[in-house]
Amino acid sequence: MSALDLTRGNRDAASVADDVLINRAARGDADAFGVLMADRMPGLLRLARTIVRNEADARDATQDAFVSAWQNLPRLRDERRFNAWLNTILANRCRDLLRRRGRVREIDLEGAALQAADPAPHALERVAVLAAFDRLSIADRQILAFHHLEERPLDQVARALGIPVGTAKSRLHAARRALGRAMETQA
Amino acid sequence: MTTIDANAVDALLAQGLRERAADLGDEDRFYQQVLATIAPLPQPRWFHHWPARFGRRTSLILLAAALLSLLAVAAGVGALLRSPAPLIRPAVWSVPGTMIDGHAVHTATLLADGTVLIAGVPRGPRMNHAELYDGTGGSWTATGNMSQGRSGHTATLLRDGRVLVAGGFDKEDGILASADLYDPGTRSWTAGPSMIHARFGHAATLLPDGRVLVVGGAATTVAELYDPRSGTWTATAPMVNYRHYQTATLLPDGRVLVVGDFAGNEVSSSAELYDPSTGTWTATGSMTHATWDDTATLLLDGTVLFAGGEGSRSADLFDPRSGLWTATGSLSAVHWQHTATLLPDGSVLVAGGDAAFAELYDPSSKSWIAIADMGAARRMHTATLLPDGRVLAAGGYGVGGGDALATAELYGPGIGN
Repeated sequence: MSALDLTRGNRDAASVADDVLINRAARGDADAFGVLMADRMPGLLRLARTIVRNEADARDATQDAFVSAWQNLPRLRDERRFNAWLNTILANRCRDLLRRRGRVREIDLEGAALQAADPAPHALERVAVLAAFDRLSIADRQILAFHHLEERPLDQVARALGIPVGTAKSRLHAARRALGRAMETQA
Repeated sequence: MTTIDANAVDALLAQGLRERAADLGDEDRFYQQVLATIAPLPQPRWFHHWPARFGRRTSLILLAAALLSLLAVAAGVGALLRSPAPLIRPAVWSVPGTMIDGHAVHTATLLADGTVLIAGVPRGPRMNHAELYDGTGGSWTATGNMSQGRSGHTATLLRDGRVLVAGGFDKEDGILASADLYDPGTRSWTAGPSMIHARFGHAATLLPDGRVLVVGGAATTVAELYDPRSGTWTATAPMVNYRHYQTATLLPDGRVLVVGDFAGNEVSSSAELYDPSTGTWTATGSMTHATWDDTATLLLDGTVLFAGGEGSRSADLFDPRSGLWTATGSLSAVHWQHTATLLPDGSVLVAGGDAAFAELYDPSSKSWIAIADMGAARRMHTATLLPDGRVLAAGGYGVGGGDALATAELYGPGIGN
């Protein structure tokens, strides 16, 4: 990046600062990596919790993703893809962890009934939706979580996943259809 | 199972996911625990010039290849990797007690009364904590808290005795524009005026007229000046290059030499000079090699010594009169994220940097002399010349990573055995 790019304001300051931190971290600066990850860690943990559901598993997946990102950062060629790359690593770690645990999510009717005793409005329905969510692919869970948990608009979802907006739109649509089908099959 | 209105699914999903993802209240501790696991592994001395980070498997393969190569050639080749460290000059590292808290990527400022103000640490519950070291009594005393946690900030002793602390990084607020002022008279902190740009990994230099020049560390070429009389920040002319983690050295003629470390995203050997009288920047020559996290030290003869850096044992001298750069010997070990301190006799103490190695640069012979290792390996620590000629090395990280060190040590040149 040239100084001219910056003085012309082609990129916002935060993303350029991120580029430098990524660059330093890729060269072995653990503190730059810490700075880089500080405000990303809560989001990663939140996403992992929604995907693997269990708190201990979510922390394991997040920690694995963190370490994997540290080890593989020198291979990242385009700093601008860092967030998408990081989210992909987390999704892969979640997938690996669930496979390792041998967990194939089934509809948790017993759990649903138990939680339905929760006096909160629509508790039973919410449990049913989450049970269906847990039967989706990791990719479907990830995009639904970005959109519904993080409340990110489509362009930000696309950036987080490193895909075009049109692709994000179609993937989100497919994930919602998959959720609907999962709910129908458990009805 | 209850039938759910399709229109309600989105709301139910969002609500359910939010409950599932709720913060349990200890995420900061989890972040710190995880971060502590990614610190570089300790490396043997002869292996110290190893590139900062390879995967473990790659490292083992390359290590095996290197060992076989070493066996295949004369045993003396090993000496090329790191020369034995002759203890030519007697020196002693002693331990002046332990700090109240660990500090790393922090600042250490010698105050007018001879005490040293230590402030900042990247993580932990007390990122805004500051403490004072009293060299005469050898004691550490808490001295209030900055307005927020900081690391990678700057601290500048102003002419009126106060200390200006600016920018840095805080886990909660990210990269900071804010500033704090420390008053040694009352031993208290007050929030100062914020810089124009948030900065981390920048440099601050006290100018002869009492103003403070802040450069780099932000996604801008803009430099800014703090005027203690008006308490305001104003932008000055932009640098020629956009830089991060550069060094900035006040030259005897009042100009400021800014060098490296990153110009854009590339490691840079380029340099430029700021002239406060005209408020302008001028590109000057480049170092003989590009590196980063090296040190710059103004020598008694007005030249500037640049030493070490990532993977580097090189050293350069910059002569402001001629504008020329020349190589000046080779350090006996790699020093990266280390410290360099001008001693009263004109030599320069280079210490630590992912190891405990220490060595001296002798400007008269332009040579490097290995001296006794520090008591502990340190990087991203500070080294402060005390009024009695000793050097206080404080905090930093050890080679195993983990939490910031609370230990400190004193170097006393020319004493001991």
